[in-house]
Amino acid sequence: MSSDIVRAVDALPNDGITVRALRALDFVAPGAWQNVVGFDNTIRAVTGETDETVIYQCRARAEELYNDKSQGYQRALWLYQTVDSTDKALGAAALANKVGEKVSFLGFLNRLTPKADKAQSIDLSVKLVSEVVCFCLVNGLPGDSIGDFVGALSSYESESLIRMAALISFDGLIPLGPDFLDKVLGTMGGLGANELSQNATFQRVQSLIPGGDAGGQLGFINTSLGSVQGWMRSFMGERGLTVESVVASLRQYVDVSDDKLDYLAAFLDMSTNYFEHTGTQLLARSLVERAIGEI
Amino acid sequence: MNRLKRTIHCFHRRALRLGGILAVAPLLALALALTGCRPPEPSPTPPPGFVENQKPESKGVKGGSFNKLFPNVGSEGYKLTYTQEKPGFAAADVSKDGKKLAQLSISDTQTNPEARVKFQGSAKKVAGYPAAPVGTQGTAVLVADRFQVQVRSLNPAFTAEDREAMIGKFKLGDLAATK
Repeated sequence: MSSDIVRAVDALPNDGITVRALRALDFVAPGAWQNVVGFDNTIRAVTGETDETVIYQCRARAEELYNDKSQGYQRALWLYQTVDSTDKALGAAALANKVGEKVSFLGFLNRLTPKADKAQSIDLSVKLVSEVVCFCLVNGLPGDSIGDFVGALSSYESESLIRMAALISFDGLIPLGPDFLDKVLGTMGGLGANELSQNATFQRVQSLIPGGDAGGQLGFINTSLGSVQGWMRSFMGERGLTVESVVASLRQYVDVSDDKLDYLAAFLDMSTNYFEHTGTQLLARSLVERAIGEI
Repeated sequence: MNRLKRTIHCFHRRALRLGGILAVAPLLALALALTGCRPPEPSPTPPPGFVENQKPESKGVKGGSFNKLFPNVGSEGYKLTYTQEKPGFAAADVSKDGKKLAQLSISDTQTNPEARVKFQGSAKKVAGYPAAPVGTQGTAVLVADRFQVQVRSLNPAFTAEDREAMIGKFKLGDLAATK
């Protein structure tokens, strides 16, 4: 009987809206992210190993580590899975509704509701702190080690790099525009703990956000945002990440006009689970890197 | 799903023997639709040489205490990036000119006693400690019959000789004295 992590990695799709949306961000770091699916494939890709006994041994150790609750991997997987709210039926329907090679979501406009800026700002912020918490869980650090997280961002690569690029693009630039960071900082700075408590995304993952009560958690969110904004601005500048560049690249896969970006944002929000997809890949990589060193 | 795949496979073979190729076509389509490009499930039978998981002897020393024992190779143009630190384990990547070359790790085998089995009867020594390969890309030594130091190539340019040389650059004496 495979463990949850092996099943989750084996179930990752080779293709679909999420994978295409992530591939559209390849220009940010060409070739950095490969959509590796399947746990044994991950072992081969991460370790370069071809010895089947070692691969088997590595998987057995990785499962043992994952199954030990105290190691934190289970909480990280839950967080990556839970912070994404996806309408998978919409994603599948949209993929079926291709015009040539492109997905058209115009037929789904009545099912899409663009989020208000405030709700979107909270969504982005909660995803960001979920990343901080998962980073700490995977690396064995106390859950509020923001300094370590910011220090590690410069060495983020592969699925983690593309996840951060997607956070900036799909939860920042497209729904909120080029000055999304200022908007998010302004919104979150003026937000009350009550308003945060009523947000659906926050409610789903509240139990794992450091800070104690909603007030403390809001403080943690604002500290995280303040610490990460410098990295985000540099990243966008260095990698040419703008509304125009992201939308132009998405047009390879999705039919979209410039006046419908709020609907594009809603479509991506509902039809993709990029946090879960790349978070699962990160957890598999971390487990494999550790397991191969321990066997 | 495995059983279903096996069932479909067996049926497929039997049908072929009967020459009922046309009858099989829809079934094959069904099998493809069901399995898609999904990776095969792992074999339930362990391959030869597999060592069963054994009960941990302890939770292991703090991973942080290993960090200072990694090689100091900055002057040789290598860059060390620490990647993980967990109870009984620490790892770092080695890169040069922006290219990742190897993964280095120290683990406390008290968390995973079966790791010691491969060193039993090994005549090979590296840096004075019993050595064993870990698959085709890794070389490991066992220090003080407890700590495993492993170097894995992540790039063909980093050879088995490089791995052995890198192992010799860990502070193995200090590691042996770690409690």
